[in-house]
Amino acid sequence: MKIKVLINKEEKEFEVRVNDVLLDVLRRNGYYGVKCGCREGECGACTVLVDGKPVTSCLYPAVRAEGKSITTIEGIENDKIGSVLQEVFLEEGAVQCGFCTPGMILSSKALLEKNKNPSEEDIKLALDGNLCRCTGYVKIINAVKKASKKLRERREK
Amino acid sequence: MLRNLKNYYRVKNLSEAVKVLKKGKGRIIPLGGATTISKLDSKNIEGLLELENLGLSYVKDDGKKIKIGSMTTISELLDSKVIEKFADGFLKKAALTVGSTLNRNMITVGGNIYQLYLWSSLPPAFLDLDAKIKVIGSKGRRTIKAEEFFSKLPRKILSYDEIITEVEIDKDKFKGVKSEFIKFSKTKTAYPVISIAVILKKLNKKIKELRIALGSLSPLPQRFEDIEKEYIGKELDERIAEEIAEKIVNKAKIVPDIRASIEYKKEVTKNILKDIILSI
Ligand SMILES: Cc1cc2nc3c(=O)[nH]c(=O)nc-3n(C[C@H](O)[C@H](O)[C@H](O)COP(=O)(O)OP(=O)(O)OC[C@H]3O[C@@H](n4cnc5c(N)ncnc54)[C@H](O)[C@@H]3O)c2cc1C
Ligand code: FES
Ligand code: FES
Repeated sequence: MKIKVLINKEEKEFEVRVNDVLLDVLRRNGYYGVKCGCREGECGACTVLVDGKPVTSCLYPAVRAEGKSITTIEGIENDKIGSVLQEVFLEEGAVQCGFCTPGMILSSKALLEKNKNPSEEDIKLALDGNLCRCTGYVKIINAVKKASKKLRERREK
Repeated sequence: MLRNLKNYYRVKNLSEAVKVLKKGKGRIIPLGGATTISKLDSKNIEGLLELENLGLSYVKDDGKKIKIGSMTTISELLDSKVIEKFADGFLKKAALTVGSTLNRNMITVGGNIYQLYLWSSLPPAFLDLDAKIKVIGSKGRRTIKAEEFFSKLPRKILSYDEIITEVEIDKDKFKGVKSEFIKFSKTKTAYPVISIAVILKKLNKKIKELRIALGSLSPLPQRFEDIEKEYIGKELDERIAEEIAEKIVNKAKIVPDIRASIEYKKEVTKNILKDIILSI
């Protein structure tokens, strides 16, 4: 069967099987920024935003995405919050192997959409489903703090 | 993987939904947050019934009762002002122990109570709250008390054509209570090894209301009404708190698992429970 979605602000139609999860449909269609870590909902490497909310696409039934808006890391570059997050992740050294980074950036974007001035606790809670085996999280948390500061400064100008 | 899954049903209302389940004779199942369904390995399931567009996502407060739609996600519970204010934030504390933000954005209240895993967080909380589970099926609507609903695996309580629609809680009983919900686990987002849910009300140092439920220790969540009742009217001090905790763990059914022995779980449960009773 076919599903119509709005993905990274573009209308697209994907061929899906009823037992497909969104992760596999996205990767089959070239969205390789969506990573497959565990297929168990444990690691967050497969994070995408569905109607603005971060979910694990490895557990999200592809058929359920019909008519919904999906954001993957490929759609972040021209996004106001997303592009700032990309900048600060580089500046802060919050990326090592990069496997967790798409998920980290998407979960951070969802947080900053909802909360303009998150505390360290808010950041830790928002990222608690995104595991990173390299950085030790400190630089990631600093990057999100810095992004929220930069965004606030830009809004004030 | 659901190897023989062929159909996905989107219907307009609950009566059509029930008809689809009836026709499926157990081979079509309701789709909640999908966090269990997507991991199932089964040849028997042939269809999924979509519940997300049937108006079952809400948290309402009508003054007397709190009503939670079965498709409300755990994150929506956490965002709800009604839930935050109710019973010293008891359900918020319970909801915060469920998996990670990514999981909480998907897991639904209905799915969490139907798929009664050992670690399910909401069932012990709903037991303490004397919640009522509302369902609809081909024989009409019915209301099941939490105590009965969690007395067996819910798939033995519900028929295959029944859908959980709502969880209802009386507000009056919980005015002025203090509460705590503690998950003991290896990491903050890991499945709990022990879950402890306590609701307490004191008047002049005396216990006026006490509710204790344990989760994760055995396949079904457990409440201890007879022990709770013994202590109503007693002055609460360290000795009494210790006595309550001791009685509860001696009565509790505790199964061993790879993460912890029965003896360890007993000791940890006793100490956390005592601390909660003394600190809230
Ligand atoms: C990584 C991870 C960590 C987790 N950690 C925890 C935790 O710490 N604590 C915790 O409590 N849970 C936790 N969970 C969730 C738990 O294990 C279950 O997956 C979840 O509760 C199922 O809910 P769901 O809404 O996703 O249900 P689904 O997967 O959609 O459905 C599960 C079952 O319930 C049935 N069902 C769903 N909704 C209804 C309804 N309204 N009426 C009738 N039947 C229905 C379905 O047909 C199916 O049989 C975790 C899950 C994951 C993936
Ligand atoms: S691949 Fe989805 S959470 Fe790990
Ligand atoms: S940078 Fe390697 S897993 Fe996070």
